[in-house]
Amino acid sequence: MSERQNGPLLQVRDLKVYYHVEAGAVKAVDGASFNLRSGKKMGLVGESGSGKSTMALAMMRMIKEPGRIEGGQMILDGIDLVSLSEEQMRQTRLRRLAMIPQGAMNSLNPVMRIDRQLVDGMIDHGITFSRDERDDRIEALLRSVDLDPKVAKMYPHELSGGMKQRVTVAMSIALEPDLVIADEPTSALDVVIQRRVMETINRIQDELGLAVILIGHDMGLMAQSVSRLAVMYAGKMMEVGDTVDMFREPLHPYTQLLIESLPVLDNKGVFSGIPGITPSLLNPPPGCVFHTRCPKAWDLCREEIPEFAEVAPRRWVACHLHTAS
Amino acid sequence: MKLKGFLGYLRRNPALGGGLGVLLFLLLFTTVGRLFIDPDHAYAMSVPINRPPSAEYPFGTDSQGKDLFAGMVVGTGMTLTIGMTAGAIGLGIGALLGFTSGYYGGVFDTIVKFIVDVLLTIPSFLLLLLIATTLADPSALRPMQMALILSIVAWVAPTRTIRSQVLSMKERAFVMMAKLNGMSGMEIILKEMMPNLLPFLAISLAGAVSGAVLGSLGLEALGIGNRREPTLGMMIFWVRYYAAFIRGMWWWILEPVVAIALVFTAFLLISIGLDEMANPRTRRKV
Amino acid sequence: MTRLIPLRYFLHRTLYLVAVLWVAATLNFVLPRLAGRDPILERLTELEASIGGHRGLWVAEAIDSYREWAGLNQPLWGQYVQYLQNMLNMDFGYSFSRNRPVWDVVSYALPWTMGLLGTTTFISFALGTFAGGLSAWRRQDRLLNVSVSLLMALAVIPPFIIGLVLADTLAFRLKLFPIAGMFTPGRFVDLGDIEWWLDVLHHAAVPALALLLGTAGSWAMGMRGMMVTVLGSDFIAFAEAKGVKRLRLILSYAIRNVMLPQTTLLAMSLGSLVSSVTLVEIMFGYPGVGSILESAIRAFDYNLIQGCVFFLILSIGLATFVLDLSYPLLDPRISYRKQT
Ligand SMILES: Nc1ncnc2c1ncn2[C@@H]1O[C@H](COP(=O)(O)OP(=O)(O)O)[C@@H](O)[C@H]1O
Ligand SMILES: [Mg+2]
Repeated sequence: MSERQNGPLLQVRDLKVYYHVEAGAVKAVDGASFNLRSGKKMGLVGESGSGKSTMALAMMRMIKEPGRIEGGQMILDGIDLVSLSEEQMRQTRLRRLAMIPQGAMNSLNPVMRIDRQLVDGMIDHGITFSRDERDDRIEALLRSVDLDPKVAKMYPHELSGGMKQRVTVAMSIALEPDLVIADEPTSALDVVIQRRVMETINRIQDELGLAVILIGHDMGLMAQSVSRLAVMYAGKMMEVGDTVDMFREPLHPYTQLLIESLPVLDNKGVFSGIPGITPSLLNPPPGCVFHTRCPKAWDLCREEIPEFAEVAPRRWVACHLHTAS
Repeated sequence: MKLKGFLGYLRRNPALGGGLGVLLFLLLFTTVGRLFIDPDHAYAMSVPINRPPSAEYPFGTDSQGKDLFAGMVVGTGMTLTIGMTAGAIGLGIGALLGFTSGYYGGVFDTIVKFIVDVLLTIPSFLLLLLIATTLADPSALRPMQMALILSIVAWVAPTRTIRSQVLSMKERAFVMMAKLNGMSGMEIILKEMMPNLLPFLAISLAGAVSGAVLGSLGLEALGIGNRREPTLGMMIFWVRYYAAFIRGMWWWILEPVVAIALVFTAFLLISIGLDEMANPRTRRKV
Repeated sequence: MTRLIPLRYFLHRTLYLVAVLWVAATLNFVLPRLAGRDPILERLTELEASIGGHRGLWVAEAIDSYREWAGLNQPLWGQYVQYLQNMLNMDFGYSFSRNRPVWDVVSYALPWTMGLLGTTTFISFALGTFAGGLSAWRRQDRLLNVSVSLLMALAVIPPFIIGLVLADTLAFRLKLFPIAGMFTPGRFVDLGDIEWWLDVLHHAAVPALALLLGTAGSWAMGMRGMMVTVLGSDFIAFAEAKGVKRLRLILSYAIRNVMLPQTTLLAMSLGSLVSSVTLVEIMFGYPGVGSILESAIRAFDYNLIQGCVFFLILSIGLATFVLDLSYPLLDPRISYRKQT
């Protein structure tokens, strides 16, 4: 595990991922930047279609045709992932950074027993073990995600959705990576199970000291379990900061709207959502991408793209209200 | 307006466009083509024999004294008619059985499913052969009788497809709603399911027609069918009967082969295109 | 065994096999009676009328033995029971056109048909599956795309029509291959003789090529479609995220899963494959069951027609049965999933 206290574990700089479709380039991630310190948990929120999954896949270097990483850097512990060869990247996956998939329902190979799926990734990273070691390792992994070791001999179709998601968690931590990216890990599960699986993920994160990027679209839910928040909109980073600060004083109008629209617990207010529609990623509006829906937009917002700047210590925002002087 | 939208869709679905295009070409060939031929010349002893393609006989003539141009125009139409008739009957029966057994379930469904599965294992061509040789004088079958015989097996595949589609659709919300609103089973089938299953019905029809054409070709190539008529399968029969190879009559072989290839290409492309229409593969998951 | 192949599943498939055979046998019995005729008796009577004298006597004898074989003096259900008993005893009656028991005629031809069918299906399935899978994996490869598309285009044409063209070009015009027979006339069957085998291959080459060209494309087409679907599935993405090696990703994850629908496709296609091989044989005069069938139709030898059809169905039934039994070995879900 990483003991580096100085400097972030992960630095994403000006990352750009475009999907080249017939009509042009869909700028799914367009110049996103953020840092993450080791052992910390960051939430990445944004409406559906804002580019969160694309960002996750880009960090795993698993963007598929017609998508491409157009530019930027992703520096994990001093190494730029963008510059790695395919084979180097393969070795980095699971060992340094791992992913918990979104749809656990279909994320396991239906024709292979759980134990084999648990160890094949390890074996391909050069781990060798005796039969007993292998079985012990599998048992320990399953127990660590609160699963019965008997699950090892089962096939995916014999497990419930929650159990499958736990299996994928176990797989992702098999080599104790520095960073785990979880893309809406529980969105396919029902609420009670969602909570329990999240508890397991949180506990493991504590035990292993993993850094986690938790992706979701529910800011309220997210706030309960992450110390830092990154807000995305239309492929761009709007605001990054500590969760507490961000709730106390949201700087970006978009963040403000997101927080205002959260249902308040006691009056059971209706979830109002934010008026307006998300802009096209093919032809993003000029200036700030959010100006079409922003209640505080002014002339400059329609013309000039705001810079993503550190306006207070460890507090970043892309908005002319705070950067134009 | 509507036509324009349809043509625009065909551009995005080239398989369907291509398939319909080839089919349209074949249909025009057999209909408009009649303006350029003497239909009587499609039959034996109407023109000089064994002529290679020339200005007078653009497709050449065969050893029985048929003008092959006339023969191809009349014969392609006849084969398509046989196939489409049998296919349509097959689809009709298939839809009836598929909808009722899939929707109502129960013992009836179990029996239908069992029979369909057994019949799918038995090669339909052999079944046809058996039926054709026992039921009638094999060499004097009229085209419509041929179509009827072919329809005896043409319902099996459509029944299977439609039934499984109905089964999966039965669980969908709008069918449940209709049931709660007190619609009767028949109403639900006709008003709710049928419109949604149109592409699948069309796929089944395309499959049934090309299956029936294949069946007719196989039977006729063995001489089962009306030997007088110039259907595509019968041409194959006569090609072999007169050993057209040995005598170097390439045109006689090539023409029915090309027509047959076009017929099957048309129906295959149409069903690929319809399949794309029913479940677009390009639909992207986010 | 029952651990690998669930007992219920096994019984279910066995029931199916029995049902298929029963339907095949019953059709043979019912169809002529539905048509209100006894084509065998009619034909024999016709023959008796046309040939007199010494040979006529033979036909009269044949009629008597047919009556006895079919139990014609019994009521209908008795005839049926006797018919099924005959089938069970592998007694398919007498082929008067060949002047031998049907069983003798068919059992001599069947290995040739099955050999041709088995070999070409194996090669075509392997080739088509491989090409289709590869073309899904490497979608940018021009040469690969062109050759797979070509195969697919050929698969549109029924194999016996392809056979017709090949017979014309390769056998008649270029004289590269013989046109008929399964080995050079006059040769003796000698399984230990390499030259005999080469001669057999030489004779089977063009029919086999016709079947190959006519079917490989459809395997490729199915494989490509399913491979694209599987490669886009969540479990492939997650396996990649686990950092498994590319070879493992292809073999244990992609191919392993694509083989399920591909095997189903194979099982479902057996029927049409048998139809194809029958017609191809006829086009080439390759003396398997197909050719016998053709000559039986020409001679109105209904016993022989029925025998050929029954044996072909029997072979397919068995092949389907074996494929079905192999399915649970490929797919652990089989005993859970409801059969559709
Ligand atoms: N394979 C793809 N081809 C084209 N566009 C894509 C593809 N994948 C995602 N996109 C587009 O990229 C944008 C971001 O998608 P995604 O990263 O999935 O967002 P999120 O996870 O935040 O919902 C969306 O507009 C989506 O339409
Ligand atoms: Mg997403």
